Amino acid sequence: MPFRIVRRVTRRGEEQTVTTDVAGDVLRIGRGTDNDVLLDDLGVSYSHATITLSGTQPGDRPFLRDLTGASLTLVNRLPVREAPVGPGDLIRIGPYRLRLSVGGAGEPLTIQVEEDRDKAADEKVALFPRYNLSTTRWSKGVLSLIVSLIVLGGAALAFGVGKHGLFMPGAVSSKHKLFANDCLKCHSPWKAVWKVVPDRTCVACHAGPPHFQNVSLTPAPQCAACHAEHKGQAMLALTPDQKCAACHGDLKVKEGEPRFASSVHSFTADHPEFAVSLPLSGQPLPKRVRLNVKEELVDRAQLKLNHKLHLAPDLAGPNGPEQLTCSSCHQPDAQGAYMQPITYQRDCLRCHLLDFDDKVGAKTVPHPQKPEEVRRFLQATYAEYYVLTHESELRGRPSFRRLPGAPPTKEELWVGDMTVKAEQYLYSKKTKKCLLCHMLGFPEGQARATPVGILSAPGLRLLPVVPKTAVPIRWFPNSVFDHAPHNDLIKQKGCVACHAGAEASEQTEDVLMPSINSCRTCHFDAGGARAQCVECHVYHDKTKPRQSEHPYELDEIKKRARGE
Amino acid sequence: MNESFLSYGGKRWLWFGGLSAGLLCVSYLLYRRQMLPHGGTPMGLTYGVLGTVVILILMVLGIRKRRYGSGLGTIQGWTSAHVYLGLLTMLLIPMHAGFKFRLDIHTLAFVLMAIVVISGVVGIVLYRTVPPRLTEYEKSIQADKVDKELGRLLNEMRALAKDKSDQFARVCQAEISRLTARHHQGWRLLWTSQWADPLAAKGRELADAVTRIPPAEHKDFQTLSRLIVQTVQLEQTVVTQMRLRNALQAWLYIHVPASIALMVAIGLHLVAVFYY
Repeated sequence: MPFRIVRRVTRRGEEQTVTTDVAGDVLRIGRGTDNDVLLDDLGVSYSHATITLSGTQPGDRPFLRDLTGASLTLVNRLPVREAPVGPGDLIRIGPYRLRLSVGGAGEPLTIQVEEDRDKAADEKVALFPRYNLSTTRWSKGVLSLIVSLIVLGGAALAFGVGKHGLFMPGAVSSKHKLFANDCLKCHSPWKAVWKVVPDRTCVACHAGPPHFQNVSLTPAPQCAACHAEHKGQAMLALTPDQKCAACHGDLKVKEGEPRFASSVHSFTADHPEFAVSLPLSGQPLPKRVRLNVKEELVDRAQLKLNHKLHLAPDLAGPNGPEQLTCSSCHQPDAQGAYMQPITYQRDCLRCHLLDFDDKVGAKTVPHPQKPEEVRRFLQATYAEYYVLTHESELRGRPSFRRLPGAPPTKEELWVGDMTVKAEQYLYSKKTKKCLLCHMLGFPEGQARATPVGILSAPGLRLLPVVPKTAVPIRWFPNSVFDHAPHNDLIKQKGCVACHAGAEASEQTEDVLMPSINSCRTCHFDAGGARAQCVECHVYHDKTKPRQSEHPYELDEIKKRARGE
Repeated sequence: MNESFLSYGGKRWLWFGGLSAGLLCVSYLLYRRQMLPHGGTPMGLTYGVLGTVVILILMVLGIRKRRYGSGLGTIQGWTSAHVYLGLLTMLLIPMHAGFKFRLDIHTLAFVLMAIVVISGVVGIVLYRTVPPRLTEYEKSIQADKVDKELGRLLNEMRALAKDKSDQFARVCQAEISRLTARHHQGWRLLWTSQWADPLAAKGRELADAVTRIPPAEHKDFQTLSRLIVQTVQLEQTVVTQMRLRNALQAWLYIHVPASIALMVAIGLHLVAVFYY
């Protein structure tokens, strides 16, 4: 009885052990029904393996042979093709385990066949769960937890490594980037979300003088009300128009009429025509006249000038005919921002000499001088001339002082006579020396006891009255302008591109400042050159300084800028 | 379902959403004229508070739809409100931020919200298009009934393979392994082609296999082939139906986790802005 096969089978729901004895030397194992050990599984070959009791000696071991040609039989977990086996060995074929044992000497080789318990479950069809999303391990809850932890962990990590910028509600302006991760430099924790950083934080570093004309009805706004940090402003100084329009959109003053337009929202939309500031004699403040109020727009500079005449071709110059241009007289300042004020010495003298008498040669009347100073100059010039031309006659003559009441000497009479003639020449309408530019008032009567001069001479008139000239140095004092960025335009189209009509202007009274429309050809919102309020206007009156405390030393700022 | 959740209650939520959107746009244009819009202005804060309240209401749908006994409105009403209020957040929150976004946790919260809303819109489209097609397929047999039918076929195949050659058994075994495999394929369905023809492929495979089968077993192999073709057909029924069923579910695997993460991000946003 060489082999004994022990199997556990379930019959009518009861588990039983069935023992079969097999005679012969060869035990055939496989799926086929002609096998001694029938292993009914499709994973098992029809004839899978044999166990042969080859030897006749008591010590000879049974021999296992795999018939599949692919070593699909495992002995003690190792695939084999041929191997000796014995009691205690475990053979595995498909889902079956074959345990070998011997009861005692002369007893048959017992083969206990066991089947994997979960085989039945393994072979169950489960397509519905296989294709169903809800059976996956990555449920919505698990995914939610993972994503939430990533968000939380990422935030903690960012905070931990000092990337505090990720928590800021908006980018820091370019100038404050150096301190972007240093929140406590400006902020105090747990303040109300609608409150801004207090002014003392800002003025610690920045001098912020108050607004012009402290006439507003409300207290001055806080720094952060206009310079909104973390709110998308790259340059805090570039205050948005809305901040200005908050007051200037509906400007109210404590008393009287507002000096400025009372409803302005933006340059493009509703900025009024520019107003020039015309100085008025006897008034503390210059008069503001808008360029479109033609009847009031009169330049009362008390000076005569004809632009058209000056720009005419072949103008008689000191060295023959020449062509003047705007820049012959209007010169920019060192920064190129504004035009320097016109002066007689620099701009007029070259052509308009104040000569008065060929006798005294190249001598000209100094400018600017008041009439009494001119008279004193003339008397001194002629007295000097007399002395120089009558040197021999006067030499040896004792110096004298004319007694009061004594008649004037002939020398004094000559000087007085010459001065009268020179004044007549200078103040004449024909010669147009002084009268070319100035408007002189001539009082009637003779200068009997003139307080000016060393003497009074017959024919000497009362001194003319010269109205004080009032050429505005800044026509638009409430805005800032820079010619330099406009140089390309000036080169291409000339000054008249903006100062329209200058070449045709014949009247001194003409105001030749550019109208708002000429600026608006280039400067407008959405697509044009910059047109914010702050492009031309400043809020802080820089003439009123405010001291800052500077808690940052310059060295510290430099260090931060270098990233140390 | 005669009335869609989109037009529930005489389109009352559509009207509410549309009118609110109109009012919001007008208010924003007025607000923008007066100041630089951002989250800290009174209007910005108002938009933010409104947005948070709306998002919380939206989250309540997740709770309400699991409470079958609740009398607080109908599920359809809640879903309708969920859709239109959800779309409204895409207006409220950018207005709160003054339409300014950068690389920070605040924008992260917005991005998560955008993901939630976009996945929600995908969900709406799916809910409008998929169920009619699914009903059409379910007329023959429902996917969850197929397993039982397949089990019966497998038993027949096993019985047929009994005492057959190894070649025969191998074909049979391969089919059984294929149908009993445990690996999850729900997601794969969504991006594999629905136009592939596994039946034709299987026919070619069987024609190839028959050359290796001993002639004596050819008759039984024909029976086996018929059984196999039947399993493939049944599996295709499951696959087609599950592809649609899963499509109805899949967007929620983005929608729900993103909305939970959104709550976390909103929490971070609030701490960050209220701390300073």
